[in-house]
Amino acid sequence: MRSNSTAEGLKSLKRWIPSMFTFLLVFVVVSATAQERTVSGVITSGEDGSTLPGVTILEKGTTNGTITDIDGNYKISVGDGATIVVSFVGFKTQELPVGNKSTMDLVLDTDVSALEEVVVIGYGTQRKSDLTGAVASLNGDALMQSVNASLDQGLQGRVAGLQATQNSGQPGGAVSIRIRGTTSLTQSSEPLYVIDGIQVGGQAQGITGFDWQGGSGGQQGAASNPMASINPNDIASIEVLKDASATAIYGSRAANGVIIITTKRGKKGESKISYNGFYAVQDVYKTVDMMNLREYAEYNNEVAQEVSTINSNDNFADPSLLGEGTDWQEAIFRLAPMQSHSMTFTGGEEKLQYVLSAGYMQQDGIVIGSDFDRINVRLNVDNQVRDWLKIGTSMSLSRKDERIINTDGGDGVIAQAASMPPHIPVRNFDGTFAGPQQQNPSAQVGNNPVAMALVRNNTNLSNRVMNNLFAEVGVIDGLKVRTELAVDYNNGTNKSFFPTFKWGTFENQISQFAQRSSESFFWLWKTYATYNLKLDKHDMTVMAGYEAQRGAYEGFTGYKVNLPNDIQVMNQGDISNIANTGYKGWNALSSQFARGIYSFNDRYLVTGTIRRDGSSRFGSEYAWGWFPSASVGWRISNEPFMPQTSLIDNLKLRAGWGQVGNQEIANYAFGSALNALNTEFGPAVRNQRYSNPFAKWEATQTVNVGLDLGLFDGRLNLTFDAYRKYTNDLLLQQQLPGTYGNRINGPIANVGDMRNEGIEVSFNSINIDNGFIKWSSNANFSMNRNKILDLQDLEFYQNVYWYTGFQQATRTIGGGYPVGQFYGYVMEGIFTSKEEIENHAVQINNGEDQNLIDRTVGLWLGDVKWKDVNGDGFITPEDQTFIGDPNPDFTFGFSNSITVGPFTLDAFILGSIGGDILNYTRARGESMTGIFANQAVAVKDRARTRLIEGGTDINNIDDVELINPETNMPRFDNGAENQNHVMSTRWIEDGSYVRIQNLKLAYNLPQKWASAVQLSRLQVYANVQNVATFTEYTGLDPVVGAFNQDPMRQGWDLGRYPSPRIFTVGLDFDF
Amino acid sequence: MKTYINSIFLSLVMFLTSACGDEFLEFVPEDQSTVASWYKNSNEIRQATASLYHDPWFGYQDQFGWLAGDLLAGDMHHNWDQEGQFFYLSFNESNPYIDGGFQGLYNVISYANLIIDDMPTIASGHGVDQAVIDAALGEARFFRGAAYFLLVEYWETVPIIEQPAAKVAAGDLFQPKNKTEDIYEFARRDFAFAAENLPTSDVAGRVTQWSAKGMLAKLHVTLGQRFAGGNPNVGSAEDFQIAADYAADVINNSGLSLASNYEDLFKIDNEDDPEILWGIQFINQGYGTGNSRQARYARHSRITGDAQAWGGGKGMTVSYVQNLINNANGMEDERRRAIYMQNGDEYSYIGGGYLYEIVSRDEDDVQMEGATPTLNNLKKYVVGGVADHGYIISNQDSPLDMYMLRLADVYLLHAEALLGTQASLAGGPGYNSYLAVRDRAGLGDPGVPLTYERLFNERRVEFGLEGLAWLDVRRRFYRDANDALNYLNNQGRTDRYYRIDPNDDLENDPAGYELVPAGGGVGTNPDNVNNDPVITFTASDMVMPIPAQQQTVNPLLKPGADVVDYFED
Repeated sequence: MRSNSTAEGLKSLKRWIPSMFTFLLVFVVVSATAQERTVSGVITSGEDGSTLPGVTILEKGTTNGTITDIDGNYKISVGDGATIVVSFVGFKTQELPVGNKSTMDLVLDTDVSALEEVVVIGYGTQRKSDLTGAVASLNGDALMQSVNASLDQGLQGRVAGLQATQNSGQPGGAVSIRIRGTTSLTQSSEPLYVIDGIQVGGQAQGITGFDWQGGSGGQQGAASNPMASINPNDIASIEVLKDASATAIYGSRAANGVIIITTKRGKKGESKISYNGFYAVQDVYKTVDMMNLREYAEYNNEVAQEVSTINSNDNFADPSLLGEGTDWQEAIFRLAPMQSHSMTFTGGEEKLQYVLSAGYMQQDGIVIGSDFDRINVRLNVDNQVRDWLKIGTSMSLSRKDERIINTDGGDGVIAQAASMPPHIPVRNFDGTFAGPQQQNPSAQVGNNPVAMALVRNNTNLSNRVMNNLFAEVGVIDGLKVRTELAVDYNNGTNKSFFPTFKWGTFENQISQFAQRSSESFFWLWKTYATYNLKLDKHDMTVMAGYEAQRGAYEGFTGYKVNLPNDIQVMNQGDISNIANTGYKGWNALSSQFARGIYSFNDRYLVTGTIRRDGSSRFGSEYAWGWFPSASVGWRISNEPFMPQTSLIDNLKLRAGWGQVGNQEIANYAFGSALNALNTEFGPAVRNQRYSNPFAKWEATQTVNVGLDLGLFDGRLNLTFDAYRKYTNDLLLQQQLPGTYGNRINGPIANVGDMRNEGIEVSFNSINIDNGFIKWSSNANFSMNRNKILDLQDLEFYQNVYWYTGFQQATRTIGGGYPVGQFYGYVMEGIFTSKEEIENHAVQINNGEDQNLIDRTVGLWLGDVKWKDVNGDGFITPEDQTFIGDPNPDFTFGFSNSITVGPFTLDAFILGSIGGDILNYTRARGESMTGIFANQAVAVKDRARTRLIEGGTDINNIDDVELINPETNMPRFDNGAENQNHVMSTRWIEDGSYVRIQNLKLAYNLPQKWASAVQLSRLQVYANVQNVATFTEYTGLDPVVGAFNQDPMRQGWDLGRYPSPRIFTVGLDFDF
Repeated sequence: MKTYINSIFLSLVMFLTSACGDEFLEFVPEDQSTVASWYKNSNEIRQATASLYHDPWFGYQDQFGWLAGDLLAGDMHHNWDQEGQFFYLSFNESNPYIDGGFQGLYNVISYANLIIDDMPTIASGHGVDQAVIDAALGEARFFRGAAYFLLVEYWETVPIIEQPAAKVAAGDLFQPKNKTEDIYEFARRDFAFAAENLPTSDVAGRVTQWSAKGMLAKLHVTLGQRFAGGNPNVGSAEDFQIAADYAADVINNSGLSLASNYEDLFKIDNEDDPEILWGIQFINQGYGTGNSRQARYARHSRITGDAQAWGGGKGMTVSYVQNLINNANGMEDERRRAIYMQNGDEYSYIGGGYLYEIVSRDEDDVQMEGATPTLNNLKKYVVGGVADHGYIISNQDSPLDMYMLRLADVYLLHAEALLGTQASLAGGPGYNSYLAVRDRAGLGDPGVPLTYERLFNERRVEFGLEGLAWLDVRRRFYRDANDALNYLNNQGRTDRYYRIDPNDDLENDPAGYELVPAGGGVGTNPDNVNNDPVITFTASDMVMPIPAQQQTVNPLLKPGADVVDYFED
């Protein structure tokens, strides 16, 4: 929380005329010669133009002084030739000679050196200048620069060392946040969030998806985002604790970093009413090039000629007579509106302050059938009950309602829109949805995506109450005891409906309905004492406390079928054949912690913390863990030997070490529980996993060195950090060889070591500030290298759905390789001649260790030539190798803000360089294994053969040649013997991108005009988000994230819901 | 104020000593039982073994069961994508369905192993009677034995995994391939233990000692054929006799009998018929719990009432149909319509009454169903939809049990065992067993001695689409490798029908189509060229490759890796 904000008052109607008058006189030179003169004026904030009450005005060299009134007016009598000194907390002190002026209005600039800025560090606050750990601080305004439904989206590119990628552009879709790289293999790498003292894990909650209906479902990419329930408008500041010396105070949950979110609190002064609102339209900015009807028909005809078992379609006999057909992508995407409105009431007396806010946000997805809305109410109160007792609360209530379509997965609406053939119309003449006429060989083709999106109904409604009550007692001078009781209550209802339909020959005669209801209740109680002692040059703060927290959850899923009139309520319909199911559990943490901060003479800083956590997630012998940290800082700029110039006004070296833990495993994962299942013989049980009672904390040790540099009177600030994180005893779920079974879970074990190391640089500068023009820049750069040092011979593979053949799309092993690397074959080109096939390593064995040349079951011209990686003359699984790394080389963010008079232009650019993407959507669009699915336009250039002169048999390799030998697109092959479309370099693309994330032009109504309409502030703005993306990636969106937030599934594009381009107009005002 | 502060500190101390104590953290699952607290009585033990009857088998049965079991053997015609690689014999170790089968069988083994390892000690600690423990052990070992038997039949050499939990805990993860004869022996011991300890009867669907004896008959016949084919290591001269004894025991003493109507065996209502020895006890409770064959095989949504009908292009091969006709000896084989549908067949009990036409059209004359390459479609395990049953099976979850061993199999194994290494059987109990199966099919005594080939052909019809065909081909291969390869290479599985004249009105008359042989055959209509290749098997094609992803994880499973002894001789 920053302390430099101001109290703001509501300007009353009576007062505005005189202050307006004086304001105008700024530009008038008034000469006067009186000995004793009275000067008056109004003091306003340079930050937002609001008037400042309580500003001290002193005649220099005297004790003569006054303060501004509630409207920022002052009046003071001074001697001739006097100079006045105007000062206010959080602003730069100014000295002005009065001369012969009688009115002097003044705009106070905020103190940009910000050395006195206070940051939240967990169980307390600290002056930013005293920080010894790696902490990045972001105020709420920065988040509001872009249009975000959820605050974690707003973090993207803003903080060095923090990588935020949206796993899905679906409204409310989850975001993956990595602070300094991936720290866990099979468990979550999401950070811990602390929202007004309430700890919330960052994992997305899975939803009842489509898997019970035979689809790929419950994918967490589309799952609801825990941060989506917070109104970004309510946020005062966000602190990102990055290194262990900063996070260790959160002990066992801190290994992935901590994000502390503090909401706005009331201030003394007259009540203020603020409104923030915007209206936006969103649009998809790119679609994949798929064949139109003519192209598809031609493709069908050509294939039917090539392959005798494929019949030609009579309707396609003359493609030139056909139209464009259905553009399925156009059919599923739409211009989608989005709006948000927040009202905030703040105010307070001497002893009682409050913030009351209400927000409403509504977003339609750019894919039909998806939407999201949210209502928030918040009340924050602080009350100084007695001199020694302060109590308060942060209460928030949110309700969000989403309609989720099946996206992001291989059978999702977006992937389906790409592969749905263009000869099928969206609807029949009678308005009903159309579908394929003929039966298809699998479920993957023929599902009308428009119908899927609109008719299959999947909704998620959740309510959340978060409340933190605190009492703070000043025991003796310097000693405060604070106790907080927090609760977090959630309930959710997730419904999934599969209707009856008849789409062409696709028919479903009976509807199905699933509903999951869940409830969770979390409480946390902490009490800690803070003692601050300032003695001469010594400044010492000691804090110690304890904390207990417990979360309990319960839920069930019920099923019904045959619902009359598609009424989706559990009282309808017949009992389903699928058994109802439920779950229940709890977990708890008990902790003690202490911290000491000592500084000597504002030069030498030492911080030490220790925390002891006990967790219910481990067996009793392994429940407790210790998490210490220590860090030091040296403010060189305060040393006497440093020249006291404005060139260097801050120079600080920091170094820290700490150990944090990770406890995020499932309940009773150390033991072996029995899963219940139904059988022909009634209820039955079976082991859930191989047990490991020895599972214990995972420990991550971080070493961090940092440098803070402030130059030119604080106009240029630079922060540099370098770190190394070692994670030992990685807590993971073992992936066992298949011979141990793969339905039964591997044990939770502590195996292996991982290292993340990197550097982060961030700077902000005020390039120009001449009163009329102000230009400031902010930039950050992060580089992280992830290496798994050892996995004790364990290997981890992840597949893209079991039926795809991409069974080992990533491979994660020890020995210094990064997590989640792509794994597959290397494509060397395609075969263009018989000789090439004969001379190449054996891909399909003819039984005599030579390549089998055969159009149907062997190799043919136009098949992919695989690289014989191990050089043994045969293409075998041994020839798979690492073919790409999804981890970016570096990421950056760069924002500029230029204010010219009342106009402010913000521009924000971010980028990620060097991460690879598996473009699975393209793998479907160019697979060429059948004629039922549409293919990419690029497939038109596939390798095709024709008879050579004098040739007679198209099945004799000596009689044929390639029509287009220079192509790189393999041939059509429905048998897929050579697996031209297998996981290989063919589908790996460079996912580097630079994106102009937003451009925002704001107009601040000058104070005088604002006052004329009784407003203390008014801003209108227009914003374009996702302006332009520079990338070589051919898919819809290079910002892919981690599928299911799984670190081993980073950079998988399975038909991801693309992030929209958003055009916004907005209005903010205070009165 | 002081008292206030005192009370804060007092509450602090109290909290630390109470709630923060270890019981605050001691976790016992509320929504699950734990292994240590289970196995207290017969009921709990039988709940554990009940889990082995359906769900773990899904991975094996969903795809591999029919792709390798029927399509690879040349009984089914289906050539699409990676499924079609079984038809064309063009798969390699990367085919995902091979892994599905391999992995599925090891899933069965892993679950069985955990019961075998955990249950006896925990149960006897609770004072459970040893006979109860042994009976449940018998059940678990039956399934483990069955999984290993299938593994050895398809893959020849695979690792034997016992006591997996101890191996995992010790980090001893990579087990080598074991010798074929040791895998047979391992499976034999499991079946033998089951035969001794399982009850003679149980609730319908549970395996009994007769199930184990039936599997022992099959295992010993298999060993006998291995021996007959001259394999010096696997099998012995006694195996045929042992098999015959087991089979006779089942036939004479089990109290089971052949169901009177073959077609009724494949209706949901009759799944607990008197013929079943071991079936996968599928239930209708969502994806993964039920029999998915209907979705794979059904010709059209008209039959299933839902979108899951992917059998539009699947039929039986010309070779299969020809064998069925020849085997019937001029009579009508009553089994035929239960296995596949052909022009004019009517089924009252599926699709609300279904008439099979080669091509069907709706009232607007738009084609709904088209001709398959062999002019027929699959029927077995297609049971109809909600209109026929009143409940839905739209999640690939037909409750129809899948036969893994039925009495007819034991009858024919009995005949095969008594035929042994002889050229033919002219009469006697073995011949009678063969006749019993033919009788039920409405076929009479062919009146000629029973040769191995005649027996094979009979089995091919009787167990059509039951996932057994490849195992039968394998036994034929053990007995006489060249004979089996000739059979596979000459069956003409890729031969298919073409429409002679698309403009005549014979689209629903077989006479409107002509059979064109593969390999470039041309019909009377010169446009009808069948460029499908003629499929050729060699001896090395008779063994499934170990799936690529299993090889990459465990290098000891690579093709050249050592095959080691499991039992010390």
